[in-house]
Order: sequence, then C-alpha cells, then structure tokens
Amino acid sequence: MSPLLEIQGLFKRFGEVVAVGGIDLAVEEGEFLSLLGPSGCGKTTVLRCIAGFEAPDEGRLVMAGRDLARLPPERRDVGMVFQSYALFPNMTVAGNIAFPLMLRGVEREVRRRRVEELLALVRLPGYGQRRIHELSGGQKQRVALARALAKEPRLLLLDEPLSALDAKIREELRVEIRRIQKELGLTAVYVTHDQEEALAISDRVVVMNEGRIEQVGTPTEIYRRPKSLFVAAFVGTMNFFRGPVRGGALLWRDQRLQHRDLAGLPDGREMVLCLRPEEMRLVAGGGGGNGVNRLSGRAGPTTFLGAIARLRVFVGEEEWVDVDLPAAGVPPLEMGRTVVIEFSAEAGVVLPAEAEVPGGRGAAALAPAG
Amino acid sequence: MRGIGWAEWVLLAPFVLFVVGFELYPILVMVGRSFFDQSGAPTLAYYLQILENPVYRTAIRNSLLFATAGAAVGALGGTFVGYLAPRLPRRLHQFLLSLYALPLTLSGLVVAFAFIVLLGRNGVLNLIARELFDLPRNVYFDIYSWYGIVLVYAFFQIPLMTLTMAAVFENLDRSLIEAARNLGARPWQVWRHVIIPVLAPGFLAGLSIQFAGLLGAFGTVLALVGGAKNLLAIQIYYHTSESTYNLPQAAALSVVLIGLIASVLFLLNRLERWARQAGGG
Amino acid sequence: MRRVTSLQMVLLVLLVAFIVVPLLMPVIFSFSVYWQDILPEGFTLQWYERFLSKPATSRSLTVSLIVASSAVALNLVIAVPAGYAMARMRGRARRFLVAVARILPLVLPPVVVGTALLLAFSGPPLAISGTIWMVIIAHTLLGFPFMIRNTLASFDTLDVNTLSEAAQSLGANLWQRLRYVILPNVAPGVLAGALLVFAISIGEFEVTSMVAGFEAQTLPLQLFQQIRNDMRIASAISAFLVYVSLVCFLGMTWLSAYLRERRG
Repeated sequence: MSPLLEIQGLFKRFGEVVAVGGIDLAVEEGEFLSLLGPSGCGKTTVLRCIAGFEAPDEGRLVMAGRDLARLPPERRDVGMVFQSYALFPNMTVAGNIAFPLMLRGVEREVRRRRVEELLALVRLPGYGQRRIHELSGGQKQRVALARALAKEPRLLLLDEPLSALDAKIREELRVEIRRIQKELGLTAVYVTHDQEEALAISDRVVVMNEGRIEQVGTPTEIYRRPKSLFVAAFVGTMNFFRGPVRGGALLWRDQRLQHRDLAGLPDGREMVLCLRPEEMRLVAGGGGGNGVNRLSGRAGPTTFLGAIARLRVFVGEEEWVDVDLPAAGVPPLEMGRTVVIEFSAEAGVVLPAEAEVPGGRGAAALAPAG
Repeated sequence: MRGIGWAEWVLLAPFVLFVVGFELYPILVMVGRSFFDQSGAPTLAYYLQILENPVYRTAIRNSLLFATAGAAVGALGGTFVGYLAPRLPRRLHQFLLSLYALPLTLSGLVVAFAFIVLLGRNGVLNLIARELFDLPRNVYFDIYSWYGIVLVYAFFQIPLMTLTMAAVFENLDRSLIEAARNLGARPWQVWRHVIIPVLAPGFLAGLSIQFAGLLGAFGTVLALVGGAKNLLAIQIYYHTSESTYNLPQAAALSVVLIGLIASVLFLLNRLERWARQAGGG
Repeated sequence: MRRVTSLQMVLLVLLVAFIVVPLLMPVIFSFSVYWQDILPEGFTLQWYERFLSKPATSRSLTVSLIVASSAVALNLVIAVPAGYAMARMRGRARRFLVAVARILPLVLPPVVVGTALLLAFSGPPLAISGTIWMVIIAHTLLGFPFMIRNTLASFDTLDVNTLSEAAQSLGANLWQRLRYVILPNVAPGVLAGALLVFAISIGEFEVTSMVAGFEAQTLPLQLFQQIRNDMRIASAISAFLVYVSLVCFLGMTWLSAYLRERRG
C-alpha cells in the first residue's frame, strides 16, 4: 500500500533562517504520526507546508498520488486544528462546525444533523447554540476538532492543539483525540514539543531538530533505542556516561563500564553510554546483585513521583546519576550516605559521541572527555 | 515570519500613493519654495528674516514657552488622573476614562466657545466669583491671557495624557512592586528602580505628543484672541491668508516649526532611552 | 469591590465637572433666550432655527456632512487595506510602517500640512486648493492615523490571520474568507475608526481654514465667524458639534464594549 502523504526533499527558508532543511517522510494511511521537537525545529513549518499556508522552496508533497504544489489550501483535502483554536467569534458553536458544510452548499437540514453528530462525537451534545466566548479552553478545542472533521478530510493536521490547556484537561483531551482518530480511522499528523504527549498519543514519532529529522520510530523505539544523542536527551530522562573505548568497555572516571554493543569497537573511540533511570538499581546494603557495572556515590535528594521515587546520586563533584526506586517500602535515604548503583551490560544504548550532548532534559552525569 | 509579499504591496499601494502625493510631495514643494523668492531666484532671505526679525524670534520663543507650559499642565494633570482612575471601582474607572476620551473628537472652536461663556470677561464663573467674594469689576480670570489659553488647551491636553498614563498605570505589574518590597527596597527605592523606569517610556511618549501638538496648535488661540498672541503657528497662518499674505515666508516658518518639533521629539526620545537604562543601573 | 474614599469622590466630581461643565455651556446657551447674568433665562429653539435657515450656515452644514462622509469613505478604501497589510506583516517592515504612521502626523502639524497643500495645489498640475476636494483630501490625511490604528488593533486582537487560515483550511476561498470571517470580525473596530474620523472631520478647523475657499465653508469655519458676529448662532453650531461628537463617541463606546464581550 502506498502512503497517503509523501514528503520528498522538503526545504523551506525564511530570509536567512533555514526552517526545514530537506526532509523526506511518508505518512501511512490510518496512522497517527507526531512531529516532535523543540521550538524552532521546523515541525510547524512542515505542517504549514502540508496545509498549504507556506510554499516549500524545494521538494514535493504528494498526497494520494497527487502533487499538492499547485493546490491552494482551501482545495486540499486536509483539516487543521490550531493551537489558538481559531474559532470564529462571530459565529455560534454550530455555525463554526457547519461552516465548511455551508461553503460546500450542503442543505440546511443535513448540516444540522451533521453538526449534532459531530458534537456528540466530541462529547459536547447540546452546545450548538453557545457563543464561543462562553466556552472553556478544552471545550473550544473540542469544537475546533469537530469543525476540522466536518468536511471529512483524508488527513487531519494538529498544530500543538493542547499547548494552551491545563495539564489535567490536556491529558483528558489527548485520550479523546486518539479515540476519535481510531474510531474514524483517520490519518493524523500531530505537532508537539511535549515528548510525553508525543509518546502517549502516536503510532509513530518523528523527532526533529534544526530543520532535520533525527529519528523516526514507534514510541517504544524512540524511548528505548534513541539513534542520536539529541533524541536520547530530548525524550525522557537520560543519564549519560561519556568516555573512550578501552578493551571493549567504556572508560569512565577510571571505571570500566561494560555494554554488549561496545565489544569489537576500536580502542580510543569516544562513545556515550545512555541509561534510563529505571535501567539502574540501588544495591541493597552493599550485597551482591547481578549487574556487571557498579558505581558508588553519595545520595542526593529524592523526588517522589507516585509509583516510583527518583534518587539523585552524586558520582563526582558536579556529576550525578538519576536512579528510579520503587516508591513503596523504600526507607528514605539520608542525603550524603554512600550508595552503590548497578546496571547490566544489556541496559541502555551506546551512541558515538559525535557532538556535545545537547542540554535537553535529563542530561546528567557527563564526564569530560579523556 | 512574513516579509512584504505582493499582496501586502497591493493593499498598501493606495495608502502609500496618497501619502506621497498629498503629504510628502506638498511638503517637498513647500521646503523648495522657502528657498526661492517671488521671481524664482534662489535666496535665504526668508530664513534670514526669521533670524533677524524680532517678531519671528518672539514667536518662536512664545511657542516654546506656551508648549512647555501646556505640556507640563497636561502631563501633570494627565498623570494624576491616569494614576487615580485604575484605583476607582471598575465601573467608575471605565466611565472616567470614556469621559476623558471625549475631547479627542471635539472641535477646538467649540471648546473656545465654551470657555468664553464660562470665563470670558462676563463669563459665568467670573460672575459667580464676583458675587461670592464681592470682587471689583476689573478683577477677573482673563481667558484671553496666556494663563487662560493654557487653561483652555488643558481641556485637550489633560485627557490626552490621561489615556496614555491610565494604560501605563494599569500595566504596572503590582507583583513587581511587591517583589521589590519583598527584596528589601524602601518605598523611595521602589519608585526609583521599579516604578519610574516602567512609567517613564509611556510618560515621555505622552509628553512628546503633547509638545508636538502644542507647538503646532493655533485654532483655539485664534478663536479666543485672533492674532493678538504671537505664536509661530499663528504667524504661519497669517502669512497664508489675510493681509500679510507671503507664502514663501510661511514655508520657511513651517520648515522651522518642523525642525523645532523634530528636535523636541528627538530629545524626548533620547531621554526615554536614558530613563530606561537608568532603571536597570 | 473597591470602596471609594470621600477624597476620591471629591476628586472624581471635580474631574467629571472639568469635562462636563464646558461641554454643557454651548448646549445651555443654545436653548436660552438670554444669558448675560449667572443664570440663563427662557427656553427657545430659535438659534437652531436661525442656524438652519441662514443660507451661509445651512450650506456649511451640507458641506461639512459631504466632507466628513467622503473622508470616512476614502479612509475605508485607503487606510483599512493599509492597516490590514501592516497586520499581515511581521518584523522590521511592520515596525517601520507603524512608526511612520505614528510619527508623521506629529512632525507635520495641521498648520504645516495646510501651508504645504496651499503651496502645492494652488497651481498646475493640480489646482484644487480652495475647492471642496482639497478639504476632503486634507481631512482624509488627518483621519489616517486613527483609522490605521483601529484597523491594526482589530486584526491583532482577534488574530484574524489565524482565523483566516482556519477558514481556508475549511475550504473557504478568498471571497468567502472576506465575507464570512474577516469582515464580520473586523467590522466593529473599523466602524469605531470610521466614527472617529467622522467626528474629527466635522470639527476640524485648522487645516480647513487654510485650504478652504468660499465654496468649501465647513461648519467650524462658520462657527469661527459667528463667535465674533453672533454668539447665539455660534452656540447653536457649537451645540450641534457637541451632539455629533457625543453620538460618535457613544457609538465607539458601545462598539468597544461589544468587542470586549465577544472576546470574552
């Protein structure tokens, strides 16, 4: 089956700034694809090119076998949901949802029924006659979603639709969007800077940085098998150990850290071992665990996170490692106590130290090279 | 994200054409004419006249004094009302600001008429004062004096400044003041380091508008005292009409007036920058 | 709810009186038979009657209405698109244009504009000085800053650019976007600007007195004459101008309240 949308060599600059530096991407029929990255990474520009609000400088957009280049936004078969809702304040809720139908000359009665269906779909039955300013943020975005769906587009574009909402509403609506997408079998492209949101909602995630794609993969792949230090640092919390390879192990502060992927690498090559907090354990009372790697340090503050507690362990003056502990039944560790952490040779990933680790979330214990 | 595309040019075109054709072109013609005499020969005579003729020198001095006095009254009054308004209950606050927006649309002549009735030689307020304090007939507030003219202009200038300053005071973030107090600043230090730097740009912008407006004002003065008060704008007006018709001289005086306004705006702009930086230091 | 202290109350009364009392003077005068003492005497409509029946003043009323309506119309077709263009722009180009629109009227006061128009349009290529056309052009120029500011504010506060994009993604072509989204959302703000331009034009004296000939005598020019000749007719004209200002002003207040409510 050929993809619904194919992006080939998309390039877009604004003045001196390259917003999108030549990307290729295929969006499969029926999938929920997220474009994830920090602000300014070009994700919104990609979306706006698909919608037709920006014209690419180079590259092609092919949707269902048709080149989009000469098609103005209003004739593309896409629906769009905006971060700022973009509901028309001069119309009622029903007026907003019926707007695309009215433009197509759909009969009044049919329009009315369709509006009711859509309001039921987004769980706002009976809200048709409300004015826009009477709605809460979450309700506004539901109406915007219903409106975007009214013309039954083949592709739904969502531009940071939840960013303006409170945490609680955001999570609720995230589930709703996913439910509706599955229910209708929609193809959706979702832009967000929130990695947790992208992982939670998507079939596939595209991580972008500085106008380029860093990695495309399922949420699990992105989280478990980051392909670049940027992805490793941007998604979730990550501990980094950087050092040269020495005899099939990583030399880090005169310790040899083992990892299965290090075997066979030439000596002297700079590598980074990336480990999630949940991939490490605290060795109880100094007793033997089964991990081949052991580090000792001083206990720092513990952050309570519900099911788990995250302990910061200082392994040097300025360097630390975050380790997850089960929150239940763990006696509070007093700060400054010497603790030992361990992890197996299978845990985490090893990446070439091609550049500085970007200062994203979770950039932690990072020893200076050499 | 966008620059100027063809759509923007098309939309702007009528405006640009109109401003160029009916504002900039006439100004250029005017500047040009100020350098040529009636026979078409180039001359600086009109500018030399301004330097030498005491009438013009007095006019410039009077204009600057009048604008300074008017701007000071407007700025102080407007700042006071702008400070008071946000402290009132919401409805009164909105009512007061709406009321103070009203003079913006009012004809200067109507205001002149109103003040003649109120404070003319036999104006209502003068009559009331005469009755109350048993004043002699030759003691009254003279609306046709410089003080009187400044008072009449205050009717425009105070509301104008009020609108600016009310917005500035409303935007003054209370948490800034609270944070400063919390960090140990004394009230005068809060004013010096927090409030004044925040207020200064709006205040000076408002003051610029006051000065520029007053330096060019003449309609209300004309209605009150005719040509009896010697102001630069009045001189220009009389040179374009009446018996003293002399267009090149009017053009030269206009160029001087533009120069005066531009200098004042420039100075106030400098002051604004300085105030902004002084706040941080 | 904040309490009003008695000091605030006194100040408030004084501040309100500062605006209201002068405004009442021409109104009371215009309805009084005689006002030479502290209190006016009698009630009459004859000053209005004279204002409307005297050929010079009644004609000037017509001229003023034509000029003000034309200035509003020209502002709608010239300044509104310009304001829209500025709203569509970002960055340096926009800042430059907004600054020009703000500073130009400050540096070029009415007396200078009047002199310049007089010099440029008294002879060929375009000898329109002294005609009603010149007055209309002058009033249009004076209205620009206000119309542009209002238009720009309407587009900015409602984010019409995004609304317009949303409409486009829903299938609306340029005409449909204008008809259903842009115009209905911008109309209140633009209308408020139009009222402001109208009110300013009706009361304008300074430039008008310099460029208007005998055929373009507007109401304020007649008022200027009558302040010297006949204070009673002057009072009727003044009062009429106050009414126009009040109507325009109430319209603007209502429109801004309407916009505030809709924005929620």
